[in-house]
Amino acid sequence: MNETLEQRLSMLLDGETTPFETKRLVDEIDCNPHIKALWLRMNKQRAALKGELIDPNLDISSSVMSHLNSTSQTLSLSNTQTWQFSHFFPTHYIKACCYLLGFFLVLSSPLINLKNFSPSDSLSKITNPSKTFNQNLPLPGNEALLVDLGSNFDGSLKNYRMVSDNAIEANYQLSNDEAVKIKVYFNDISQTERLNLIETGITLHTKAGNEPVVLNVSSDQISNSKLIKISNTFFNK
Amino acid sequence: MHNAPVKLKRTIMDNELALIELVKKGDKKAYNALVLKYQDRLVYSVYKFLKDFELSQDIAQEAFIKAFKNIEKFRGDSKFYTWIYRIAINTAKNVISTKARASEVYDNDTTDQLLSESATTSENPENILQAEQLRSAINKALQNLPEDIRVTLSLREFDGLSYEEIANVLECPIGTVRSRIHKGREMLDQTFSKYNMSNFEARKI
Repeated sequence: MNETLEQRLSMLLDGETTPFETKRLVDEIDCNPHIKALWLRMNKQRAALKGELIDPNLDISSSVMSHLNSTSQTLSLSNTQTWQFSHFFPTHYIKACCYLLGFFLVLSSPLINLKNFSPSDSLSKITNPSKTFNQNLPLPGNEALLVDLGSNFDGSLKNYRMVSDNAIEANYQLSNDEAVKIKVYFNDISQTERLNLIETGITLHTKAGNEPVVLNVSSDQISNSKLIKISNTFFNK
Repeated sequence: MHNAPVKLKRTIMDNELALIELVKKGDKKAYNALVLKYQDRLVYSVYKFLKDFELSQDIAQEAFIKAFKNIEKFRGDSKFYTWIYRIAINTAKNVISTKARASEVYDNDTTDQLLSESATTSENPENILQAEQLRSAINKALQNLPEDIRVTLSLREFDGLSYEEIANVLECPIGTVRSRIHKGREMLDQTFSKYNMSNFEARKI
């Protein structure tokens, strides 16, 4: 029985198993340390045969998987929903709604409790966060995070500055020389700031762990619909 | 009969896609199997680009994380490895660009200069030597395999033929191909395990 399993593992290596067998073997690799070790050796053996083995003891799988497992659920926009939103409503309609909403808020602020309000509540839903919104990243060393953000939409980081203790403003250049500005607030922001952001571009309200993150994408050169597409790239479906 | 090679190719592609489909459904166990499958090759490819072993590992790790998060974007037009290789190289280029900015030198040649500088810093020579010895030992063991097993395994590993194609070439049943390849790997695994064990003992001393 064991030999049969090992032979099927050899077939998996060659892509010669059926989808059903593939699933069974994947489960076996996960729960059987002997099979997992054999799978690791088989792949190292193949790498050695092809001259692609750089370190016999190399194994980054556990760190990759622990990172993926540590990623928690937070609030963000889903790609599909925003795409549909921008297709059903023209940009000027969205802008007009935002202005009206802002106007209504200013007028009604003495009457309602603003602490519980989020301008993007109607646009937000629960989904998985991007790694780049990990609240544990130290703020002063966030250049790698910013470069990573840019790589989502092929934007090259031009420069950045700390707007405050908890906020960064970064400028990117796209391949066609268009410029995009991203402001990342690693905390909740005031109502005034929120209303101001509505006018400057696309604002996303999400969370890193349990901490709020506000992200604003803006540009003088590209349309709101393209900004929405760029902002979508930061999140998983 | 003329359509046979096309059909064979589709079967192989579907098989890789079956694993990817599991990942797309959120099966992290399937992704772990993929990471184990491609990690050596990816780190080696990035290392060829950067010549920095530690950095190559970090970049490969980052690439695997990015690939998982963007797996929905993988349409299966190319092989998974081709896709993740592109992610890794783009990540490596970003790291080099960041280094260039950190050095506050803004001329156009900075990236090339940093690439060339990192290319001269070869790290971890001990592990690289071990890998070289292991590669040599495995290839020697391959040459010492019984001829039918060696030929079958070589057609698979070096020529990339599917089991059915090998069966056609060698005019034998597909089950024979399957068992010969498995037997060959088992024999090579003895060399691999023995070598790794002796190295482990050496490291303990």
